[in-house]
Amino acid sequence: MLHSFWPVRIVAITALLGLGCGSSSPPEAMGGPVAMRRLTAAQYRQAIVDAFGPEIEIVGRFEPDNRREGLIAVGSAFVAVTPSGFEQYEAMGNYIAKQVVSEVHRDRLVPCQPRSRTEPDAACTEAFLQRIGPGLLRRPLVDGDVQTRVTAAAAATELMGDFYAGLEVAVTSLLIAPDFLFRVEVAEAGPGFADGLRLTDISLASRLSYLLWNAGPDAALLEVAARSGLSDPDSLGREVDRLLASSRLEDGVRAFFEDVFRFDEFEDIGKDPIRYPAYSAQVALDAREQTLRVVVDHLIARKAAYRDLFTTRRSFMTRALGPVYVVPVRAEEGWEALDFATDHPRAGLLSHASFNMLNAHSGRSSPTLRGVFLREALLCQKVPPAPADVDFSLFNEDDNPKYKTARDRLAVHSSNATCRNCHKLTDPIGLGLEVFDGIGRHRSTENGAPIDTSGDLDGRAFADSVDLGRAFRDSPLIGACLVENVYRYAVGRDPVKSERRLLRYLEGRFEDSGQRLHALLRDVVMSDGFRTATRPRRDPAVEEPAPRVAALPAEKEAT
Amino acid sequence: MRNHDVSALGLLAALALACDSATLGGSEVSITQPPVRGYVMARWSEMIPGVDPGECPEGINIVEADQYPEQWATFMAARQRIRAAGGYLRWDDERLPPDACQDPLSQPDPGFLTLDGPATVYGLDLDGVVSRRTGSSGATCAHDDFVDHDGATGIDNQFWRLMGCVRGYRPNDLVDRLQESNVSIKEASYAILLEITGMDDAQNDDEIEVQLLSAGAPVAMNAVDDVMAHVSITAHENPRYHNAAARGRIENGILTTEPVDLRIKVKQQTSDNEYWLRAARIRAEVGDDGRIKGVVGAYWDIANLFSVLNDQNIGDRPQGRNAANARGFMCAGIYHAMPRVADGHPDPETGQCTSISTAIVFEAVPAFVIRTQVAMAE
Amino acid sequence: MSPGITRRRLLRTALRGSLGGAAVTVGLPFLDIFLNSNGDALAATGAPLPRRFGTWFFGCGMNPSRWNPTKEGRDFDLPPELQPIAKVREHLSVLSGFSIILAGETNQVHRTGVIGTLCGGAPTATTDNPGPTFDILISDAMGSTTRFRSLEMAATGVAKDSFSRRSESAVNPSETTPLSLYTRIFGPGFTDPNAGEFTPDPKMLVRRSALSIVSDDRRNLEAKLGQSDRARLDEYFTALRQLEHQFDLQLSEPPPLEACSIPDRPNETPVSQDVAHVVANHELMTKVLALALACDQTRVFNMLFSDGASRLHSPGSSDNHHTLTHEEARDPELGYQPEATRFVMHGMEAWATFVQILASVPEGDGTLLDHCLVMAHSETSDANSHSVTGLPIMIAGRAGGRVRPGVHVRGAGDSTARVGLTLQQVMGLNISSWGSKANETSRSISEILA
Repeated sequence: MLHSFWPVRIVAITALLGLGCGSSSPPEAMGGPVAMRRLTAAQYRQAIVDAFGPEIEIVGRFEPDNRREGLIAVGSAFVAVTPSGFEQYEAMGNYIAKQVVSEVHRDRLVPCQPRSRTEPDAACTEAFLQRIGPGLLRRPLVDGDVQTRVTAAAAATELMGDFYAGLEVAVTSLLIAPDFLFRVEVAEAGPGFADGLRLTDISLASRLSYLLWNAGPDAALLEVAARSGLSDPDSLGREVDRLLASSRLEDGVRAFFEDVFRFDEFEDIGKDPIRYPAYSAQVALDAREQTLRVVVDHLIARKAAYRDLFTTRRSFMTRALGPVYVVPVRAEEGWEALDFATDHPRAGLLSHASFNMLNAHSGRSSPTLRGVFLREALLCQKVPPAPADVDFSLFNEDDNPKYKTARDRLAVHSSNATCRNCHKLTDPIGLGLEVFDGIGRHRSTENGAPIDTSGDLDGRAFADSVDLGRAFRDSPLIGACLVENVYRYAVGRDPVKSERRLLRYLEGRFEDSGQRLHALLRDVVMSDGFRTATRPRRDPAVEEPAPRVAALPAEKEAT
Repeated sequence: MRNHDVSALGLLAALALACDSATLGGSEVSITQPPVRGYVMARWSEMIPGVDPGECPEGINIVEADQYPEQWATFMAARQRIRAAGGYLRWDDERLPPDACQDPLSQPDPGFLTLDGPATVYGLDLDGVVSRRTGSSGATCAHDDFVDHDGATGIDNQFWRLMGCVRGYRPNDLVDRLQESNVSIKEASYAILLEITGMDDAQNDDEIEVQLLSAGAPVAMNAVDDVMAHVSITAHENPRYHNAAARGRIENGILTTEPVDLRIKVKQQTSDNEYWLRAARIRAEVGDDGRIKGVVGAYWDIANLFSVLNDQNIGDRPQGRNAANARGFMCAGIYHAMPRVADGHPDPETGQCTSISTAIVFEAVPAFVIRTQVAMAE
Repeated sequence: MSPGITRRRLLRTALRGSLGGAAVTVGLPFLDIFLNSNGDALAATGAPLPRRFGTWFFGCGMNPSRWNPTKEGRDFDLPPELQPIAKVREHLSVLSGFSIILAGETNQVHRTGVIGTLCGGAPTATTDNPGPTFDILISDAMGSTTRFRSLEMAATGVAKDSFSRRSESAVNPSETTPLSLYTRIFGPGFTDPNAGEFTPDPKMLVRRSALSIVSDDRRNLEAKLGQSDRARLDEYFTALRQLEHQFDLQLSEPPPLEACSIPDRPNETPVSQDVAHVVANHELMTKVLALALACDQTRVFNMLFSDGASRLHSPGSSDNHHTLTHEEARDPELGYQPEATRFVMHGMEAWATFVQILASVPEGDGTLLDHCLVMAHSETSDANSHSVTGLPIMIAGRAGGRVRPGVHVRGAGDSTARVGLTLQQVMGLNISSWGSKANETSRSISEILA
């Protein structure tokens, strides 16, 4: 669980200082409690594609996800299903089922012909269930799964005089089943785990494939799991390598970074048309996709170091994004690659329109929101919320001609001690991005005054926004934070105390690999923490928090 | 080259483009771009001067229904009847006189009122002299020049003499309203592009080149319903609409060009045609906001002008007659009036002028002109 | 024994087994975004009235500067050309600024606007008459539960004045007189809708059975879970039981249609494009339509007040509305074309009358209009320039509580496909996006929703 640094708690960063100093054998670790996680919208969609193919249309509204401690992957273990959400699941499931058994798709998806089109056929119904059921429920079917559905399908067939009406019931029932909508992890006692439990092979298979592909296990992985193959490290290693080598790794990496970057907030984004006439829904869509493309290209296609994402000149562009970046785009449709010249103000992730439009207000930029995002999402530091009794009228200086730039306006905050403690965490780095306006367009002045983007990131001075990217690239917190985020994302919870040493080991390995994502993902999966568990959690409120790995550095002078 | 804050130029020069999106890891070659500023037209309007009604002392031009009232009454009644029954009566139906908008000699000349007095009109002095009808050597193309709002004399705009007493071209009427709503830009099929090459200083530069060309696509609109700036827009696939670049200069912020012939694609509503504007010159101001505003003065080829006005169609149904009614003139009349006011490009044998001076006011916003491989090769 | 008898008996048995004598029911399957706020309310009041959808067309648009409200939201202003709707403003929302995105397609005068709004995309050629229009999509989704799939009416008296088409060749012709409309609905073939016998929809029963399967698995799953996850599973099953209850309501007999009565037979009336005739016929037809809806004879309708390129004219004038928009001079004092604008006002007054008539029929706890969703639209904004930018659109009715009227929403150049998408979703279509090419959209207009 994240700490609230209010007042700012100063935690030594000794853990960080030892980074990269050789990696001995992995420490023993015991994972925390298993989780029951609700599928995200993307995971639901992928499950339907995997089971029935991309031709099947999915229409409906998903229940909102819940971000917890910075990640939806963690929040998904806390959300339930509401009545209105369940109605949606049923309507979506029924619509999918109708398509699956329709004349257009049945020949492809139903592996047998019924004896009669108008009468029940238990054998064919069962064959169909065996074909789609294990993939949807992410486990082999048991007798109960099959029998109730064969019986209900027969009743529906008799009522409607249509064999396929029965199959429709069977499909719908799978798509609204709790063990489809939730990934239910199960742990069991095993040899060598005296104090705790290990994940069953079936649960491990899901954890693995959701981490790497953001999807349920494929048939091959499920087959290995069904014969307890994942308990054997060699066999597990082979499966990890197979999944890492697949093109589907891109889905997993995209899902992870969408979560870390809080890109779900694009659902609610809106901009003032008069201040930002170049903004449109398409611009927002493309800005989000642009960042994911850069990440995937950099980390997967090029297998480059994570830290270099903060300085890379490589980007991708569409005609819709062109006016925001003020660059020519040759391709009339789709994406084209582009490398910004070395003297161009665009360099690295932090210069992307996506972050800058997301972490801003509808009518203006926000150094504070940007600073909070950078601290929390990329450096894994917690910034406390503004106190409830703050008098914002003091600082609403937008229209005051005395204050031309955001830096002028925010300077007012430092005159107030209560404000200063937090704003000094966020504003200096956020002001480094002030050359990007509320939709991420570059500007060099605000209200006629030049924008000063110099500042300091925890003692490292930077001259401008490009140099801020270099400061992030050089920060030891960047790699450590990614490791922590991958781990939390993988297990769906914050690390427990016993996993702290494991995380430090993983950080060392990550640095040794030259910050290569493939190596990190493999190390996480092969670690004890990923494969073991304690008993299911009782109440999240009484869980023991562990100290954070990345903390704010000690301040030079107390104020 | 001066680096300009707002324009596309500075950023463009700072960019190295790698256009092949397929080769993610491929080699990247920096392409040095010439100092080019691109623009897309956000307004493009025939000038409608705000003149007094008194300037047409004989009144305004009549339409066919005034000239042939009985035939038109018969036709309209039949048309109403046939449409009620689900049919359609074409505008070249034989109940009417022959369609002069398709064949201008098929009707006798009914006469045509032109605006003959003095007026204050935007435009350019295209022929370099202050012309007068009276006292001239009697050449066919003699004409009276106008005075511009800023007092400039010698303004050539015979198009305004032609249209000055046509109802649809009067202030507040059809053409004025069309230009006010700017549908000719917003709802057109093809945008108009402008490129300035070699401009080192937006205030004074004695050697630049200016090219007007049609785009292969329309403008994009922004969130406040203005033409979006800084879009990338591909030049028209047909090199016919990539006009020759005109030599030009900038003096104290005013850009002027040497004459060059222009063909500009026009496709909107019932019109699918091109403008042929001859010996066109530009006079414009490059604004601090990156926009450029000015006037294109040119000689409009009269055959092309007749066609632009009257070659209107819905599918295979000619609509020129309908359009002439809406604008307020008769095709047979304007056909004979055009040579009378023509002031450019005299026929070498007869001396008859074949083009009409005109002025188009424009406003353009920065854009990136993208040339396809085909267009670049040409 | 025939299969039919078997099924009916099965159905009865199944109903007895699963329903336990629930006395109320609800309308069509609940869907999407609307469930949230209304699902419970409807089930609780047990007002199972059908929802209807209609369009109301007027030709030749308006004068944008005199029609578009300047203020957005609920306190919007009524500029001169919207003054006639003052008396019904509580029943409708005004959508301004929604456009056909041409994206290079030619604006085909008087066609692109209406085809764009109804089909979600600009036609590509003068011969391109794409279908289906979205009223057809809505009537398809409703299924053939009523006697007429839809009703088309033209106050102009011209059968071919209709925009409702399934395809290029399948145009639904309009009824042309109040009498012919009356005869079609209330003439021979009309049966009292309250006299029929209720048959529950077996499809709904089948759908419900999927829920029962899941309930059976509960114990098995619970055993694997910790305490807090078990609580989350409880919430899941609570939600499931609530949906079962909703389905049960839909499987029980609906109450009678109290508002249904047979109107007086209208007399023969003169039919022409004379605006006085059109206004009178429009009102008579609307009255017949209102009772046709109350008697559940159809749930989809399309009323045309004047055609695209409107030929409405005033007696003695050689001009009609359309020719006036092109040929009449703009009055320099007024700033608009006075004669042409008179027809705009006739249209807005007729629209207000239409809304008033539907709102005057009591139905359930409210009025017939409360259970309708009607889109008024035109093919141009400024007819003079044939502009398809900022088309005039109004939405009347509450669609059974899913829509909250009384707002002005500015589209800021967005495609009118957003309107079509939203209305289809309100009417229960399972779609997340609609429209073609540049007009395609997945953004519904949430401001008009309840």
